[in-house]
Amino acid sequence: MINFETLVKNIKSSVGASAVVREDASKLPPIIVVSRADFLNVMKYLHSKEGGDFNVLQSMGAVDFLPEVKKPAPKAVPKPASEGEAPPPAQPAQEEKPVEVPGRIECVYHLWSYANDFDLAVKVELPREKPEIESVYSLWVGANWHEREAYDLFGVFFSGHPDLRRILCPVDWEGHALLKDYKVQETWRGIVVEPRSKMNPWLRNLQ
Amino acid sequence: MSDRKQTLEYNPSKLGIPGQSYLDINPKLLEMEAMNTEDLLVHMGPQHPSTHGVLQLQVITDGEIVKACDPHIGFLHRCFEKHAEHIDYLGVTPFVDRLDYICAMSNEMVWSIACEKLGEIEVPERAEHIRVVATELNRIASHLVAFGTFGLDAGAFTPFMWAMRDREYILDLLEEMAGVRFLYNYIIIGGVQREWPSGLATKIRDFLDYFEPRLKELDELLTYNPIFTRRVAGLAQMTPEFCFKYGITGANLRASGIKWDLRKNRPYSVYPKFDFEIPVGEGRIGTVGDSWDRYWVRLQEIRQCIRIVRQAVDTMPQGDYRGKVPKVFRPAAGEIFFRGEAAKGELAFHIVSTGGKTPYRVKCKSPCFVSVSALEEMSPGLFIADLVMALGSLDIVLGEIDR
Repeated sequence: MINFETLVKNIKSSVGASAVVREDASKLPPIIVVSRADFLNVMKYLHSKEGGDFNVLQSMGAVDFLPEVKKPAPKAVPKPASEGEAPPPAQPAQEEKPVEVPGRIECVYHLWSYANDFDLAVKVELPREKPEIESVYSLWVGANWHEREAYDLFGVFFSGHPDLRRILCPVDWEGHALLKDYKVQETWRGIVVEPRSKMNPWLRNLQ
Repeated sequence: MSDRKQTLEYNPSKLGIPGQSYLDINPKLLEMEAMNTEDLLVHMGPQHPSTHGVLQLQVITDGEIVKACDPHIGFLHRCFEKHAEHIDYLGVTPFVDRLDYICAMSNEMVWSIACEKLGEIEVPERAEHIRVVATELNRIASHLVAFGTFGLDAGAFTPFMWAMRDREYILDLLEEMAGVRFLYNYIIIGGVQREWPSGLATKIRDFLDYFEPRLKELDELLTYNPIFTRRVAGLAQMTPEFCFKYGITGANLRASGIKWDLRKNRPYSVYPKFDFEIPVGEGRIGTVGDSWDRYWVRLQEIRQCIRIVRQAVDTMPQGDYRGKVPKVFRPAAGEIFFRGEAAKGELAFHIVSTGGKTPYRVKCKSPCFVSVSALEEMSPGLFIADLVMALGSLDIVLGEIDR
């Protein structure tokens, strides 16, 4: 059995203290967010016997987060003063600027150690404009098709992948379909992609 | 079977009767310049009776021997993951049915349990028993399809018809339960859609009493039949390391000798209450982990499923068929990766929720996706006919691969 805290400590001591950005033991399975620079070293360590012997890559996916502007919390409305009580003292005006959170694409790797019977989720955050990461094909051969799918649907480029092509969409499809701001193309090889006759009838009447 | 991996050089004296060319042609013609052979790229195209769905295998062959095989998928891609981002959790259930359309109940089970764990919903015990009965009956039906179509790939028509006849009885039982024969939308978040009609428990017991001797008949037809075993034994062996390399799970992993079943090792629902075994490939004919073992493990699993259904029906408590679920199911922000034992292997859902009505992202890890990705490495050196049998032994469903 593996203890999650010990695992995080071992990763930090063998790869580097800045390798693990965040960890969350409350989720199922526990999550480690790894820094982009140390990603391949962390994966190599996890694949090795001392690192936990995570010999199976169960699944590899990506999650897309658009850039957003986090509005500040609304100012609390002061209670109306009831008769006979002194009104509450006036609060000084506090200006809170909205925070801009840049967009990111998270790659999530779900690892499983058969010998130690332990599940782990490893996440990396990639910039949304240029999502590139090293391929883990050399560690887990099964990553081949998972990475092809992440490339097809999100546009993540995996360096070191032997054969990075689209897998689900046709080879000459434009765009990456699961991104949040994806607009499907009008025609593909001369075929209308979303013909009006096949549209949802409720939506068709509204347009 | 030591002659499984064929030699790729053309040497007529090694094949056929010594001293006699195996081709009925003047040997001088074969030495002519014009008689040059080359490797052929054959598309076992998406429409093909033996690829178990719309799967394209681009095969580079040297005559009849496969040199390389590149599976192309995506012909049944229905953008399930994109749809799931716009539909509320309960409404995703019919979409999840259509992933592995042969064993829809197990997909619904995994989806519902994943959502319940995310949203902390309690399921009453009667509902859990009903779910287990539905899932295991559907698993028997799915394994019967796997058995029948595997025989069909080898050219045996009778086992397919007998398996389909028995599967019809199971579909009738599930129709009584859920109202639908194939794509049920029955196991939902919190429990099941509706209560069983009266008398269904008796009908299930009668069916199991009728079906158990039939399994012996199916066994006698195909399992030790020399015509079948000569095609299948020793073919496309998958060692445990091979399976772990690709992430292959389920009956394919168990056939390689690894005793791993999520119903026993990571129990969920009420599986801990029931007494059943996990069949593991023994290599009775051929080697451990070959196609015959994968086929044999599925047959044994049908027997264990029958045991589970009997116990679940006999010990079914009274109670509600669905727990308390809020009208609009909004789980707290967070994520979950839940694995469940579906008929074809380990189906897993990675659900990311931001607290809204609809999931933010759903990633479905399907067991057949990883099985087909391993076909590339399994195929060099096989005959094309062997490639068809190896593919059939993996028991794939294209709905799950493409989503």
